[in-house]
Amino acid sequence: MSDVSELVRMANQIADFFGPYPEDETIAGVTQHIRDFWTPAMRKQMAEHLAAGGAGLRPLALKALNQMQPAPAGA
Amino acid sequence: MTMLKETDFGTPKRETEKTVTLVIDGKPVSVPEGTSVMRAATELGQPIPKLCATDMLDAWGSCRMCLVEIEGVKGTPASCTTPVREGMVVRTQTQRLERIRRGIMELYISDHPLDCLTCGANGDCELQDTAGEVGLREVRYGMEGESHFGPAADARDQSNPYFSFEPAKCIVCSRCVRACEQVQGTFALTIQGRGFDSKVSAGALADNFFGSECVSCGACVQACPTATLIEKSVLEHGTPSRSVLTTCAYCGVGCSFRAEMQGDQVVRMVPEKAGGANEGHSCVKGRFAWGYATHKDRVTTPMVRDRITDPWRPASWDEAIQFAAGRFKAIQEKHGKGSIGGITSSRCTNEEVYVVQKMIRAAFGNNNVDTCARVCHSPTGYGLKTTLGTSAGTQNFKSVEKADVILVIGANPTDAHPVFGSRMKKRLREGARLIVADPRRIDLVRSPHVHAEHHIQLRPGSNVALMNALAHVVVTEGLVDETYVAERCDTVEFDRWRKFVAEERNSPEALAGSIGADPEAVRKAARLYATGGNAAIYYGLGVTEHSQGSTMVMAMANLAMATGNIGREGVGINPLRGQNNVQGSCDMGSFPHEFTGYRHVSDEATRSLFEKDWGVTLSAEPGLRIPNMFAAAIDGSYRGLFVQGEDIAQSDPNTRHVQAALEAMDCIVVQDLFLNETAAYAHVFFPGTSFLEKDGTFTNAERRINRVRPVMTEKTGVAEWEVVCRLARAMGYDMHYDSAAGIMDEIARLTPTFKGVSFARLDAEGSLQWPVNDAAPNGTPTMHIGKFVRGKGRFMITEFVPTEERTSRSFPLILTTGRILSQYNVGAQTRRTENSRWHERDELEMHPFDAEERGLADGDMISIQSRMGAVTLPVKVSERMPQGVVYTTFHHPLSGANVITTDYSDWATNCPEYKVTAVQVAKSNQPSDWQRGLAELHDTNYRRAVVEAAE
Repeated sequence: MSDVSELVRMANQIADFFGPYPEDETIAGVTQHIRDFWTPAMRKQMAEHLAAGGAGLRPLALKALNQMQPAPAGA
Repeated sequence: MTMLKETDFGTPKRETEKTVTLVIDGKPVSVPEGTSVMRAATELGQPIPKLCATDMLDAWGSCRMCLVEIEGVKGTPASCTTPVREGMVVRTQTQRLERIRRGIMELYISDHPLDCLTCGANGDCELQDTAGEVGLREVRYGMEGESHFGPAADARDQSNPYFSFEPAKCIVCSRCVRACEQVQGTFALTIQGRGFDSKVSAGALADNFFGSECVSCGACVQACPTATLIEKSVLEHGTPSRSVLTTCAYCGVGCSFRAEMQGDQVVRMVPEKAGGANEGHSCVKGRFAWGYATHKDRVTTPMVRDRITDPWRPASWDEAIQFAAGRFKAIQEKHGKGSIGGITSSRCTNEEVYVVQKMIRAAFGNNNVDTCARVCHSPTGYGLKTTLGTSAGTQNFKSVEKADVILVIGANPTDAHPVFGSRMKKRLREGARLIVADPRRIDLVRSPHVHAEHHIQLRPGSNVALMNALAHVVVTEGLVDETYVAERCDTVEFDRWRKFVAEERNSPEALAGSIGADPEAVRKAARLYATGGNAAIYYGLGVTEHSQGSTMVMAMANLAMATGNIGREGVGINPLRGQNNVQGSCDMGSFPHEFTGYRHVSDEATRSLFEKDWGVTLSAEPGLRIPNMFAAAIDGSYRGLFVQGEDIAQSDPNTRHVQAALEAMDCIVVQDLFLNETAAYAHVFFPGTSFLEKDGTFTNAERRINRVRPVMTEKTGVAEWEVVCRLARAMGYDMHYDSAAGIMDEIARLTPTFKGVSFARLDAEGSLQWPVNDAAPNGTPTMHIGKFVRGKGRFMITEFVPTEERTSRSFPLILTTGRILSQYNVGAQTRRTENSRWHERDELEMHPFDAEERGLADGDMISIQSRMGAVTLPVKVSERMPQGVVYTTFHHPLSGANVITTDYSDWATNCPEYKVTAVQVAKSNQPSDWQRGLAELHDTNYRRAVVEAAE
């Protein structure tokens, strides 16, 4: 993926949807959604962005993404 | 294969359980109560002569040809207007009746030209047939008296491109006028004058059919018993000699048609009465705009080129397939397995789509398959699956006949789904009440004998706010169907949702600023929806193509569940699908995360089922969606693309971005009828087949699987699915089928909801609505009866999150996009027909105040500019628009509507936000830079292609 800002925007949008739920459900909703619909390469790119501080991610998205398992290698 | 003419029972079928038994010509017959004597006689196999009666219209009783004798009844009543009675004894043929009928026919013929042998309807004329049936042998009155033919005749009206109107042959039976009213619901025609001066007229203000309100649906032509209204193609070629039953390839209504043929030439397309989706009706596209299939622009030879700046070079199928496979393999070797993928088409058959996704998953070895539904109805799939358990609409089209309240939101059925639009208007004329939520004043808001009780002219982008406001009223005014919710829905989720929507911030008053509509009207609409009887929601891309498209679909499901409006006829949530096979292409496993039947690729059991059947190991990880593919192409990690029958360079948002992505790729294979905009960036062109050459199935918006049958051999010499199989084999995966039927057998074997589907059953039964399985062996017209597919209905919290696309001082207007009746999608088909005469160019509709503020008059050329780009279009000043909102269509490539649209997309599915773009509009006298560039591109890639292909 070229532009991580696109992924940041998507993650924030997903967190906006699940935001009104209790926090554990929000986090589960966001992480499951990303697991279900993002390719491993997109997840990996996001993980790298997180490692670099996760600029642009709003708090809920940041919290959820920090709890995601790493994407499988080589996929 | 199919009979040339369907039986005409004279009057419509009655649908009651009570039957009545009577005796006709000595034979007993039982029919539903309310049936006419005429229909009963026809059902008995003893039809009665008739002229003004036809079973698509209510009885009229004017021609007096169908008179019968009934025991105990004085005189000779008309059988079309006389309902059956228990014990009635009818005689349809006596000397007296014979004499009367012959006398009436003499009168008709005394005012009818006797040019039968050279008449266009020769061999297909009910007047001629009936004259034969009644034994007309002479016209005692002579032919010399005052008449409507000969020198006194009104001129023939040839203004409509597809049919001609010849008043001299009219018998004033009013069938055309009644068809326009009862079937189409346009009320364009009337009988003008009285007595001898009575004549059919296309409206007092219009000179001719083309200039009138006529929408060219063809219902009047179909209804005409003479040559008065007749297809020009029949005038030109003569009457057809055989017919093949097939399915229209335009919108998601999926009308059944008889392709009426001479040899392998189509003479006309006639809508099939037994067609479940359309029941004998049609629109200007399906009925008439099929000429593109044999248009000179069609490419029928495979072509290749090394670089997209090279001229195309014709190639054999083997060479083109090897070329494509060689490039794809080389890309994968260098950049990895995931560096290629493909896009399936909602215009292709289920079988064609299925083999493309199979090729990608099995031969390419990844899940980088997506479909054009990504950019239209993907939120429908996500939203309905989450709340109800399945990614499809809940009803059949017929269900609208039982609706009492109809909520139309983000859809314009009379333009985009005209045959269903007519059906909806019929129900509205019968008294159903209508709520329209749309920024534009679409035709349904007010048209003859139809008006919306509430038109909520909401601001683009505020759908979810409106739904929450409607739900707020339902919840806070005690309008929830508590029993239904308690029995059928997850009560924990419901309680949370109830609490959420009841918050004051979700009231119509609090949200009025976002919605831009009168809160009181919103309250009234909510009350009507909740308490007006059976309430049905119909929606289109105005719902899905937003950054909150999926949220909106869920919000509608919430509202329908809360009011008990899912799970029976007359209610439900009904997506009106854009293309003929949107539903089917989604069902067929075209999404990167799902196999057929909407099963996630990470599901072990499903994946191993496919692995075993296909003999390969499959990836458990979701692949790239279309927008992700473009992004990955620009960063260089994604370099090869197979595009089946789609024109992403025209139809996808932010054209410059799409073009940059396409230009960056090493190999693009386009399979299409024409060298479309995307083909300008392609290295391999596989010529495709039109629907008239395909063998397969389409699945329409009501989950109805219809057969598509070839009426001619493939102009390319090979079926599209066979080309895909050959490419898969060249890539090293052995994929082979003997027939399209064999592909469907595999789909049925691997997809629980298709378990009972086969070509043999479809041929025998006409159509089937999935699920077709052990629980529903004959299919499922209405879903979620008694219980939701997911078990308990799931209410979702739908917080309104405004789009990030905002108006500003520089971009003060909101652009929204849509379609028009005569054109279809990117126009590749309809622009190559006479339909363009109704819509020769895309225009920008704008409210008079906005136009005046900018000094614009109707027809001025304007530049419309967004943060993404600019194009130049003519402006159309229109009071249909609210202030601050402008609207255009995207049927013509040079208009470049998608040069302006943005990258914003639905949070759940990445469906683009086509419906909200902040723009500025100013007067202009020249095309935009992008438009100039496109014109130059046409001069290079396209011209070369045509020259090369012709050699």
